[in-house]
Amino acid sequence: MDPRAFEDLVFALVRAEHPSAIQLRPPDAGRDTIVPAAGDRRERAWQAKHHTSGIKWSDCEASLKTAVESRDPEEVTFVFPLDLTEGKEEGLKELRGLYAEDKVRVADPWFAATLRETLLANPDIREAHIDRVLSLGEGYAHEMFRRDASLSERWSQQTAAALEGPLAAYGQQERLQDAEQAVDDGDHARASVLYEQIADALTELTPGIADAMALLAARAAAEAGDRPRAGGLYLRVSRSAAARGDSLAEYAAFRASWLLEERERWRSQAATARAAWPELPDGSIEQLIEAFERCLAKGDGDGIAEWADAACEALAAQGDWGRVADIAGRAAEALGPVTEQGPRLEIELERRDALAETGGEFQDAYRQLTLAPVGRSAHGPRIHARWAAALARTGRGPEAAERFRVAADGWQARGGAEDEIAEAVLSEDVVARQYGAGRRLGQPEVVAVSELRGRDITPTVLADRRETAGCGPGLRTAVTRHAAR
Amino acid sequence: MTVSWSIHRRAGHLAGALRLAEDLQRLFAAAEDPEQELVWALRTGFAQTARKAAGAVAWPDVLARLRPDGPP
Repeated sequence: MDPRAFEDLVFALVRAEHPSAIQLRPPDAGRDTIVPAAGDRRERAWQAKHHTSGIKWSDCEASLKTAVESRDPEEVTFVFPLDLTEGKEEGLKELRGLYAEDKVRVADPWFAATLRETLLANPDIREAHIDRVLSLGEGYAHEMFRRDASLSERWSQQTAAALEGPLAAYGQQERLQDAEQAVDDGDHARASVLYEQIADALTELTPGIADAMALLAARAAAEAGDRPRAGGLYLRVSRSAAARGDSLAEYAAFRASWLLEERERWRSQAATARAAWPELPDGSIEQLIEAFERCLAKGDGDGIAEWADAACEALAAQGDWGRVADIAGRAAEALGPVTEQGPRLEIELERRDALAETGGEFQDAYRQLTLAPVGRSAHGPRIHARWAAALARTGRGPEAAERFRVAADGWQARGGAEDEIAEAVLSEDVVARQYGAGRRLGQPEVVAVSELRGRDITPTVLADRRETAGCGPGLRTAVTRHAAR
Repeated sequence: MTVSWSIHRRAGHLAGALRLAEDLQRLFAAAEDPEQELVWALRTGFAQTARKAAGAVAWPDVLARLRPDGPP
């Protein structure tokens, strides 16, 4: 967004609150948007300062002086596209000290956080000034409008969860109080059931908090002496946390190993291996395969899906596509057709990627999957993106670019997952650079696309979190510096 | 970071997976672990880097990482 577009955005936001607001163009005497004097109120002014690399108070001071000398406003509000940092507070104090408050009042500036909040309250302005600038298109805007009610509700819930606490926002506060009371009364069995009910209610909405509740349920079950139940609950947490790449997976698996009976302990060992393979592939992967073979021998469908999925992920990371093909193939045969997302779908996708990586024909297999009910569901765009990545890996540039575009369109129609649109667009750019096919982005477009953020917890969000956890800014700098030497 | 790469890969994020693979290749180069550096250099498509890393790895270990039937 350039300075002019930023001024337009500020004007739109001011006018939403003050319909009499008018926008001025240079020379504007230090004001971009004003609400004219009316009744006993003097003119009020908003100055959009498109400072992107830190607030320049000297520039604000010059604008304030010009405004006071030329138009004598009652109040001036400065608007910045970034947040105030600790070292910059002094500049605001000094600015306010320039004039007595009855001469001109320097209102609390609007920072990035204020803008975000105001944009949330004004979706039409966001659509016109942010989304359209990013070329998200009329169709997308229409689709967003259609879904607005449900998305707004979810957004409000997430905001309320942050402000009031998630359990109150999701209507679980009373049950939590009952569970805590049961703990105080020494009725740990009842507490465990109540905590688990809360976890069940929150699994889809906020899996991290659901896991925290399931941990409390497990602890209460252990207190009640119900070790199998406690072990099972810890395994549930480990499974759920592993799906998000959360380090809680290893802790929960470790706790389970203390509680499960000897004959069931392989489950906790496999869960530990699932959490540990990225750091310790040797040994962990064999343990995952052993868990898969054990479930296959027993005909345990859920176990086959769970451990084949985990083993394939770890083997793929090692580049052992031969074994991925073998395990995914046998698991698929035992489990039957894919009917829903989850481990079963992951296995199918790994099977197709294994075909691609080992020089087999994978296109028909991917095509069939996109035509199946699961391919036409909300998970369709991810299947197209996987297909596209396989096409790119096998040197089919034009087809890959086209497929990434199908994935981006799918995410766009689904809504709430702008991060995934960004990843698909950036991936098409990679293909364009490598193969000369598809849309190539310029630097400003790369920045705009990279900043797209949606409302859902998408794989991009999870990956970013794990990347941040695994490679802090300091480490990244050190690596880059080392590489440059 | 391997988990992050894996999430990107499984989501079909070619760009994200390549970016992470590049970071990991640099990380293992800095850690002077040529075997892992080779793995990630192959994934990023850095042929020169892969060749250099392979020079510091025993041939059977290099062979285990190569897939003549795989994509280019």
